[in-house]
Amino acid sequence: MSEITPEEHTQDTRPAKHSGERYFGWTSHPKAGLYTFIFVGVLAAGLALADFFVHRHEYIHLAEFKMFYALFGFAAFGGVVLSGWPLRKLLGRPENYYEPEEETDNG
Amino acid sequence: MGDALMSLLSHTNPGFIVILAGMLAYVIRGEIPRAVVTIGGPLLGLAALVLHSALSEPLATLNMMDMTFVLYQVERVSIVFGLAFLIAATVNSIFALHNKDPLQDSMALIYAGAAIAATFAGDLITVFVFWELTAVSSVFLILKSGTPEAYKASMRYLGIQILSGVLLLMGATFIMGEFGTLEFDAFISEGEGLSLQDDPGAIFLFVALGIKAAFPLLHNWLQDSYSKATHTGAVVLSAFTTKLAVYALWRFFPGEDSLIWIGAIMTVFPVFFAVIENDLRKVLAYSLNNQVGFMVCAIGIGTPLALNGAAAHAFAHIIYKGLLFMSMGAVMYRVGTTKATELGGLYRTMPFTAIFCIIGAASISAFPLFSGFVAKSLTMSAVGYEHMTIIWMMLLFASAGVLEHSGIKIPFFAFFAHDSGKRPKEAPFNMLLAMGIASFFCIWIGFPFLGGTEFLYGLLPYRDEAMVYLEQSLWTTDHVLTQMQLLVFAALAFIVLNRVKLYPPEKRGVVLDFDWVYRRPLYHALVWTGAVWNKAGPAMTGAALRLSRRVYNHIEATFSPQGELSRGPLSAGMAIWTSIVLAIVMVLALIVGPH
Repeated sequence: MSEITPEEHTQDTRPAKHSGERYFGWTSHPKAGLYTFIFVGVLAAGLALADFFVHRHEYIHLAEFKMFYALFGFAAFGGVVLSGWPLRKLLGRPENYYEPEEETDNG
Repeated sequence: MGDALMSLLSHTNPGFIVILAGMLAYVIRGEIPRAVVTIGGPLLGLAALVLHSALSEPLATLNMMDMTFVLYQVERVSIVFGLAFLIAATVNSIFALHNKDPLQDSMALIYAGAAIAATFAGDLITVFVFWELTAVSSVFLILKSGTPEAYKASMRYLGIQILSGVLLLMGATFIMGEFGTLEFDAFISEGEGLSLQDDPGAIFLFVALGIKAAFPLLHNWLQDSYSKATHTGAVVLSAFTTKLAVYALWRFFPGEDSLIWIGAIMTVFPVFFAVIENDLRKVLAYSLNNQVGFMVCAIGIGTPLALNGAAAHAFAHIIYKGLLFMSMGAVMYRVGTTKATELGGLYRTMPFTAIFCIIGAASISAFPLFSGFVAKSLTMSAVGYEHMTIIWMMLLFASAGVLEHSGIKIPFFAFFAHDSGKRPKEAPFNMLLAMGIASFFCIWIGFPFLGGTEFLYGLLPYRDEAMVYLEQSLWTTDHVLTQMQLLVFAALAFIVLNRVKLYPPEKRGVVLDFDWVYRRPLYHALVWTGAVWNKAGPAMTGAALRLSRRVYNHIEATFSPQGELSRGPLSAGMAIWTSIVLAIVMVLALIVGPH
């Protein structure tokens, strides 16, 4: 059996400043969420505006409306995420639902 | 010598080479020789594929029991699937190099080899043999996790996979009866398959493939087993079984209308399960369902563009889905879990794994410049060209859904989100190398001017149609713009919902799916039946025995040589009269019977 127990890997022996912070450290900045929101918002606005200047060839009539893809993407994603609340109530069960005699853990 | 080797390779099914490497991997105990075999086997298989000497004609046959088995025949579509399988087998071997487990190495290669061999088989019995070999070998990749849950899941997995093989064999029997042969050339050709209405036996074949492709309601073996496999096993499993089924559907049922709806439903329903699933490997399994749905739908449409789309999507998907499973495999290996509730902030110490995961996520989400875009666009366009509005809307919805579960949820909850406080080491070098190679393919295929898109499109079964699409439709401004609008606005929805705390937080627990039916009510019904039988059985058996004894006693007392009917002259008289009546009946039959 070659699986190595998680405990053997939980400690990084390198200094406290981790190498990953060089690339992704900005994501832990308190304002990172706001900056990301602004960046993606501006990008989305630009793409939405571009819809008024680019001629589209559509084979599905419904998609001919301006900003169809933008609105569809936002609504579909939002709908899926919001459906998670009732679905979890309906389908969510405790972790040992199928095998109550055994403590389930990943793997 | 060199020519003889070349000739041998050009007539050898690459799958056989990989299977042989798998058998050797079990016997060879030295780490370096085993690494040479596990990586060299698939590479030699690649060389064999490159050297294949002819298209669409048998390259190796076996005559047995008055039948011809076509062990090796190369079609254009089998090159696409076979090449992707061989690349995946090579990358998977690199990913598993740190494993000091000959059995897993061996079974992973035999499983991959069986899938490859089936892809290049030219008759149904050869496919059946390798179909079953994929089931039997792959189960070890789940079993080796060593947990009770993994054991139970592996038995459920094995049962349903073997059932698929039995149905395939039943279908083959009917096809043999109808066509007198099982060689593909007798009953299918490229783009022309079997008919569910006209060909008896086709339905068995269809269900057999449906099980392996994880059609809706037949899909739960996938989430059940992949999430419980070893950290390397899940990577291997993700590449072969479902895509072998997609390949078989492509060969046997192109243009089968029902596949359009089956595929569309497959793309949509996993999206809802994935959003509430806590185990990220299970999320990936749902995502796999969703992606295979695109391929199944494209096969159902059956136009050259759609069939190209299914093949291209399978090729790209095998690599980027493997990459995502590898990134979660690395997390599993280092942290010991892939549950979102226990992860977060891993970018600090696993930055390269995070980068590779993001590349896989961008590819599966079909962001322009990544492989998913050039592959999935073919299918979306094919649906659009056929003006199938509802199907197209379903696939577009599923595209936004992919971004949710695979594009954002996987990398975000594993590597970013809240800091779990865990500081695991970066993945071992061999894992990073494997993820790096897979990432290279994701970018090479998707990025224009690097030649990868031309390479993939050049491989496709309908090459001319693919090249026209590449030149006229793929990189047009409106196509790139609309795809970016869909994805960026979907990402904006994520950010907004997250900021206003409407994104459902990850929560420990299981999510009920259709497997509830056989794991709960059906299981309890069987347990109850068994308990009832255990209690009522002995009493019923005793009563039946007593009754049969009494009946036997009466019969014996009446008809035995010592019985009532044998005593006195009556029995002799009865014998004489019976003979007379029988003689009269025979004479009458001779006189009035048909002449």
